[in-house]
Order: sequence, then structure tokens, then C-alpha cells
Amino acid sequence: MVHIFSLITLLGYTIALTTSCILLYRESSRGRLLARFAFHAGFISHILLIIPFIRFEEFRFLRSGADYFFWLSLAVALAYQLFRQKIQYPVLGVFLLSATVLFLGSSSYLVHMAPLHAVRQDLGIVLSFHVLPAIVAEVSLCIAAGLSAVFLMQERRLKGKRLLTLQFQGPSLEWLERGSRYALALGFLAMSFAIVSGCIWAYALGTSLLRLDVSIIIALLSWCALGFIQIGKFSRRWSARQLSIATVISTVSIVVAFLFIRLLSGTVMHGNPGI
Amino acid sequence: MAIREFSECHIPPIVVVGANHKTLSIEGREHLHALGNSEEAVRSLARTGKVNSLVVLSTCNRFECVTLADDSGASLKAQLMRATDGMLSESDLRVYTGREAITHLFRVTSSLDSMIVGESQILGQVKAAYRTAIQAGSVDKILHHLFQYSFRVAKTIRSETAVAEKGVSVSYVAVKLAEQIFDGLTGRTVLLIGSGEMAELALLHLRAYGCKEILIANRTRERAQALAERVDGRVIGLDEVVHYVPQVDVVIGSIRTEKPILRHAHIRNIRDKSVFFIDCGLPRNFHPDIADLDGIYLYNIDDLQLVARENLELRKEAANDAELIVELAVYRFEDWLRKVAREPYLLDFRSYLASLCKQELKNGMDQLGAEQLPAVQEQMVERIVERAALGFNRVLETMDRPTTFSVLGDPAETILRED
Repeated sequence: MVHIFSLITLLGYTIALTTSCILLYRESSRGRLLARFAFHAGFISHILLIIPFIRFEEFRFLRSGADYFFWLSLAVALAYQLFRQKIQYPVLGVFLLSATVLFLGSSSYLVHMAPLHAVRQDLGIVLSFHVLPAIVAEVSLCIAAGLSAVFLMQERRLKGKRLLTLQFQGPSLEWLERGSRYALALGFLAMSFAIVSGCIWAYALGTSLLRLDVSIIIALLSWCALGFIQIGKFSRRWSARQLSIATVISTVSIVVAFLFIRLLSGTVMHGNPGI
Repeated sequence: MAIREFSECHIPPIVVVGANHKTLSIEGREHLHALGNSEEAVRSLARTGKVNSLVVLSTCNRFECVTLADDSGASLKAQLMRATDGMLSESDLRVYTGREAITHLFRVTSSLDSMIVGESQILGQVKAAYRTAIQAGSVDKILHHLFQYSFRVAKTIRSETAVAEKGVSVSYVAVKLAEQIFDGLTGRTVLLIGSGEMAELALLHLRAYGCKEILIANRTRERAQALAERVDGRVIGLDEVVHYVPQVDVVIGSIRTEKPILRHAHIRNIRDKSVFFIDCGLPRNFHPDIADLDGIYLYNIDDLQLVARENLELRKEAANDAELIVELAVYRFEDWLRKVAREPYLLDFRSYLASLCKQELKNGMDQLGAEQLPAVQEQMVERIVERAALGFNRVLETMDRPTTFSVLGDPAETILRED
């Protein structure tokens, strides 16, 4: 059952993502309808995938470090569902849905259906303090990238004085810029917190602080990108446009790095093999 | 009891007499406009134009009288020509009768006949004219229903078509653009450089949408002061403009100048905020190179007019859908008119039939002499009357629709079959 739902989820998100990409170049009401339907099918199926987590002891929330990507993908999908109503712009779907597909595809839960590396029960609280901020940070970065992309497109339309400019029924440039800025600040704080709590956790377990698995590398890259953007904003006084460009480029670079590491590493999973 | 003659309950056709921006020049319309549309003016025109019911719609683009008249509005038209001291000829005044008049009124109320299709003012103006006519006591049942129906049609068109969706005035376009840049206009600061009708209109629009602080700079300080008092603004010197630009959100330029007053160098320090520049001046007040800066959005009057024109085209396309709604509404209104025209006949026929049956039964009772029969017979009479009236109504409906008449066959035969 898990496999069927995971297949429907991935298929739904992939169709919604592909349609959003097509909508970027060719606007059509049928395409919008298809994207919406496919996303909803995927999202419902995604939520149904949680059931085994609740029913079986071995699948409990955050028992396996590898399920980090599963929860991350769900969080990004939820963020897309929330923003979709306000920003009816296909580029947002392109960014957030590709992140969802990528994270969901990286979840070992779908493949193994069993906890890969169980952790000690008494470390559950530390784990929650470590994983939840990391998820918040990654989702914030994805949202900031989506909002920045919409900002750049809308700004280009306004600067280029394109006809039918007034047809755009979305939030203002100022709203997009502010939303992106808040998301970046939240992401930076959350990721800093996740890194600190991760170090405490590793120290408590007596393992090395830095291990080169996918999640840790991506988290560190994200933290560097978020920090770089914060520096640009506060010390270099970047304009909203520069901030948006930096956010989009950083996020795309992290996604490419993520794919590259996954391709090279094959089975590298996040977790604690020592326990 | 006899059924009354046709002429006794005949409804005169609806007539619209007058002129509008399509049929008469502004000079001609001025003469008509001078007649006014106050209560007294409506009463006087109804009296002299020999009509019982009258609504006078007088706006800057039209002067039209809606009435019911058997003479196709000839006497009202003559009165209008007399009232304007012969300044208008017969060809200057247009007359719409019957279906044409109903269609025209529906189109006017829905703003399909306006100079700017879809503008919202006309509906309020028609409502005001209707209210005045009610106060003047010149609105009968037919005109009352006609106007109420026209308001419903206008509402349907506004809600179900895109005819009023996009702004077509330059100042409205400016506000809409500002709303795409800023997250709400409440509390924003506007700087107006110079003066000019277009710029002042844009300023008033922005203020209506919530812009709070207004700064005005002009070469003539007295003019700036006069405008500032009107819009509750503050006057600054023309030489202070460069200093104030980084602090404002919208800058409107409308000053006569040899060379641009704002260049790239003046505002390159604005980095962490957006500023919307509207250039209404000729020669241009702001150098085009300022648009290259991040966060600076520069639109000149041509750009705004282009968007406004584009929106107007979209409205015209949407007007085609609206025309279909009008067509359907006219058909339904005519249907109602036919029902109203039938009502007196139907009532007369009912009474006539009832008296006839009672008479017949009385005669029959006299003959029978039975005492218990009257109650049963009374009920029987009521039933006969009810069914006969319904049958008669169907006959009339059939007669009203000549296209279906042949399909249904002989009306009398229809009654017999039903009963």
C-alpha cells in the first residue's frame, strides 16, 4: 500500500511540476486545471503515506534519520498548498514542486519501509530540536526562492511596460520582497539552530561532528547560502532585485549540488549508524 | 357584464426621445441640458409634452426622455424643440419606440451606450433620474418595472461579464500600477512636481486610495499653495525635490521644463525601496535612464494611455457578451408587458363567465326546485370559472406567439381538449 501511495504521490507531483513548467511558456486554463488536479492527487496521497508512521511502532516520527526527506517533502508541499492560493504564478509551482519531488524521491522510507538506523529513545527530544529546525530552514529557503522568482518575473513585466500588465492578479512586488526576506531570515536562524543542536546530539553520542552525508552537506550549503544572502542584505545593502537573484541562484546551486551528491553517493543516508 | 373594448386597456408603447453623444454635438446637447431634470422640470415637461409618465435622464453625454406614448413621442419631441427655442431641428432628436426603446434603455443603464463602455457613473445617474421622476409623480407601473428591470440587467452585466473589469482612465491605470508595486497605498507619500489636469487627477486618485502625505512643488508657490489647501498637502520648494525623492513612494511630474529635472545621478542612492515615477510632462520631466535603477518604475503618459487603450479594447470585446444579456432581458420584459396587457381581459372574462354560470344555475334551480343543491352547485361554478380562465389565458398566450400558433392548432380546440 505504501508503494502504491508513494507512486501516486510522485506521479501527481511530477505531472503538476511538468505542467507548471509548460505554463511558464504557454498559459492555458486547461493546463492550470491539470496542474491543480495532479497536485491535489499527489498531496492527498502524500498525507495518506503518514498512516503507517502512526500505526506501526517502527515507523514512528523521526525514528529514522532517513525519513527526514519524507517530512521535508511534505512540509514543502504544504507550503506550496498555502501559497498557491495567493500567488497564482506557475514559477512558484516550478520551484516548490521540484523541491518536493526531489526530497520525496530521496526518502528511504518509500524504498525500505523500515527504520534504517534506529536511535536511542532518550535522544528523541534532541532529535526533534535538530530535525524540525532543519526542515523549517530548508522549506523557508524553497519558499524564498519561489517568491524571489515571482518577484523577478513581475518586476521584469513592470519595467518592460508589457501590455496587459494590469491583468496580473497576484501580490505586489513589495509583498513578494518582504515575504522572501522574512523566509530567508527565518531559514538562517532555524538552520543555525539545527546545526548547533546537531553538534550537541553528535557530542552526546560520542561520534564525530562532521560526517559527509547528503543531509549534512546540503544543510551546510543552505546555511552558507542563507548567511551569504543575509550579509549581502545588511552589509552590502542589496536591492530587492539583487536579493532575489542571489536567492534564486543559491537555491538552484544547492539543488544541483544535491542531485550531484545523490548521483555520486548512491546510498549515502542520513542517520546514526553507530547505534 | 361585458368584456371591455381593446382601446380601454391598451398599453401605449414605450418611447425614448432625446439625443446623446452619438447623435448630437455638444453644443446641441447643451440646449437640452439647460431644460434640467429637476422635479419641477419633469412635471412641466410631462404636462406640456402631453404624457402621463416620464423619466428624464440628463447627463453630460445625453438628454433622453423615457415615456409611454401612442403618438410615437411626436408631441414630446415637438415640445422639446419648442423648449429649446427652435435651436434644435427635428433630425437632432432621436426617437426609439417599442422594442428599440427598451433595448436602448437597457444598453444605456448597462453602460454599453456610454462614451467609455463599462463606466460605472451612468447607473447612478439613471437611478437618480428615476428617483426624481418618482418624486415628481410621473412614474407609472410600466415605467417603474422597466427601470427596476434595467437596474437588474445592469447588475447582471457588471457581475457576469468583463465589461467593467479593467480601468480605462489614465489616473486609474496609475493607481493600479502603484498597487502592483506597493503592498497597499495606505499611508504612502506622493510628491507632485508642477501642476496639470492629468497629474492632479492622478494625485486625487492616489489620495482616494489611501495615500496620506502629499508634497507639492511648483514654480509658482501660490499655485502650489492653492492646490495643497485643496488636497490637504504640503508645499516644498522646487530646489528641494532631489532631497525629498528618496523619502517618497510616488513621484508625479507635470512641469514645463527644458530638460529633465531628475536624472540617474540624483536618485542612484535609493537602494532599499521602490519608487513609482509618473511622468505627465512634455518635454519629459524625468530622464529615461532612471528606469535602469533597481526599484525605480518609470511610466510616462504614453505608457499609461497604452494600457488604458488596451483595457478599453478588452471591454469592447466583453460588451458582445453583454449585448446577448440585453437581448434576452428585452425578450423577457416584453413577455411581462404582454401579461400585463392581458390582465384586464382576463379579469373581465372571469367575471363575465361567473355571472353567466350563476345565471344559468339559478335558472336551472328554479326549474329543479331542490333545496340541498346550492352549495354543491356553488363549488361547481367556481371550478368551471377557474378552468375556463386558465384555458382562456392559454389561448391568449398562444395568440401572442404566432410562431407556435400553427403548431398548437386551433386555440378553441386546445381548450376543449384540456377540459
